[in-house]
Amino acid sequence: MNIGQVDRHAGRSPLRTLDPRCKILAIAAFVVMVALLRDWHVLAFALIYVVALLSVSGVPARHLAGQFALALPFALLGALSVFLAAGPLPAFAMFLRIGSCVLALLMLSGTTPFFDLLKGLQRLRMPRLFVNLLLFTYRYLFVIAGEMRRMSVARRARGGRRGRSLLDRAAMRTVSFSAGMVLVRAHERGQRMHDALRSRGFDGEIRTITRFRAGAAEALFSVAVVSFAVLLLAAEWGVLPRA
Amino acid sequence: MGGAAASVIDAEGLSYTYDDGTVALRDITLSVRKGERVAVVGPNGAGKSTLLHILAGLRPAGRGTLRLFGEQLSRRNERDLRARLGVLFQDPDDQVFMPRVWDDVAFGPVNLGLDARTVRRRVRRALEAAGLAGYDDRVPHHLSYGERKRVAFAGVLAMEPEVLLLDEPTANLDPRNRRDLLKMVNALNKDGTTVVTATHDMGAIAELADRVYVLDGTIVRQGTVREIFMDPQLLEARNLEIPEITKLFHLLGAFGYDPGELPLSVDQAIEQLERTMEEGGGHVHLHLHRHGHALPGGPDGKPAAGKDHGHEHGA
Ligand SMILES: Nc1ncnc2c1ncn2[C@@H]1O[C@H](COP(=O)(O)OP(=O)(O)OP(=O)(O)O)[C@@H](O)[C@H]1O
Ligand SMILES: [Mg+2]
Repeated sequence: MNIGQVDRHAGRSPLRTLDPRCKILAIAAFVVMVALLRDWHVLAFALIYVVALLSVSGVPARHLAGQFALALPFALLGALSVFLAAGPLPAFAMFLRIGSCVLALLMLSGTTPFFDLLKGLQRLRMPRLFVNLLLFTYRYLFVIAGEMRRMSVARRARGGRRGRSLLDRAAMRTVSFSAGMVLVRAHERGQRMHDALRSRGFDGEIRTITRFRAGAAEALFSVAVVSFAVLLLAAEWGVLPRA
Repeated sequence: MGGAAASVIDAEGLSYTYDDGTVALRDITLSVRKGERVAVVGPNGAGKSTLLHILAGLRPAGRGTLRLFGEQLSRRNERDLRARLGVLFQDPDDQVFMPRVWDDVAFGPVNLGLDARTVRRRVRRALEAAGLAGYDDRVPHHLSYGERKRVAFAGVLAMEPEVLLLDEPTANLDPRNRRDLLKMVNALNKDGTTVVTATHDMGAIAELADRVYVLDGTIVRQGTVREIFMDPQLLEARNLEIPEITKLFHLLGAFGYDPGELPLSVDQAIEQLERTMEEGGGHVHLHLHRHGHALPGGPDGKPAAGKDHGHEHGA
């Protein structure tokens, strides 16, 4: 599973200690502005800049490549649809746009421990239902994935086999039964989890004692990220004289 | 323990039926007093976990009454009452949910509204007690099952509850962690914590309980640990087994060794051998007899085999 690995290298990043609220806001602003860019020359600059930032972020390139590969199909699909509608250059621009946005977000998730990210979102007044949902999804994906893996192993240990195609009816039958089991188990687990949460005093809000503090480092980071995006926008809109 | 100790849990005629119609518990009456060590034992599916959840005030029983600390559970007091009971769930994955060990252990204390310093102190103490010093930044879903169980336990300890309700606390622990856990729970008990343990690990209850309820849908028997261990028919019928060490000393009875009080744990066995050796001038005498004694605990009581007289000397 790749999802649980997003923050695997966060501990080593120099950006880790930055207040997650600033990181979230700065990178969100960057993504919004890059999404407004049209010219592929300018977008190329955006991409280069993000890659440069990532190279000092301390997140290993291989890790990033693996994560980026997950988003690649979407970037390609987006580019393809633009290609069919408007030709090669806009398609290339679309690819660059999606690519830089994804990489910018990977910088956020790769340098911030997942829980800090959630705490940041919570402090930024993200609705509590949404934050809790993210938290529990993150945690229990592993439990459910583990349950699915164990069931699959157990099935094969008892002579079940993997289907070779979607048309393999026997295999599909087993898979659909298993999916049903996973849902039933997830429901029962949900109830026990709720019990466990209440037994530790949960009332719907996840509290923490962490205090965030934004200082000079945060200001530097925000300015570095946001001002470059502003610069690019200005360049494209012709506010700056073209070189 | 004085007989006048305050009652902590009082259950009368509790029944519970799951949504799908499974009748898990019928007519349960039990009571636990402050400072007691009580075990609930029974085979798989006996309803041990269900019972603990109900006793912890997490699920309303279908029928019967439950009083915690002398008070009937109501909407107004349930949160306060629950905070005084700490439940260790059978499956740590039900309980441990934060993406970081430290935050998970801190979850309860933070909910209690304690200040940051107290929270930090309690978390550190709980992690140390659970043998998890240095695990602060670990991610629970990358830990082993036994480690996750200990994280869950630390999360319960950090709330410093008056009553511990432990569901299979020793399952999947390695010998050292198991021993440490038993020692720690008993130390807490010495300081006044009431302990209720649900398990089928009979070796653990010998060290973790004074009084036992045998559960199998309903309470089929209650008594001291010794009374329950000395009832082979009951144990056989409920799929339970006395510890090997107790069986061994039973067997020694067939060799002319009078164990007096049967030891229920290795510590007790050592104590007893030492006493016997003191009385016997440094020796333990064993003989082979022709007539065999039946061995309780196993229905196929093995007769003492052999024809000769044998002597074993222990220094
Ligand atoms: N969520 C549920 N829905 C329906 N039936 C359930 C549910 N949970 C448990 N049961 C049933 O209730 C009965 C008691 O279950 P419980 O888990 O309390 O037993 P237990 O004594 O803890 O068993 P074990 O030793 O395996 O932990 C069992 O027959 C079980 O199948
Ligand atoms: Mg159970």
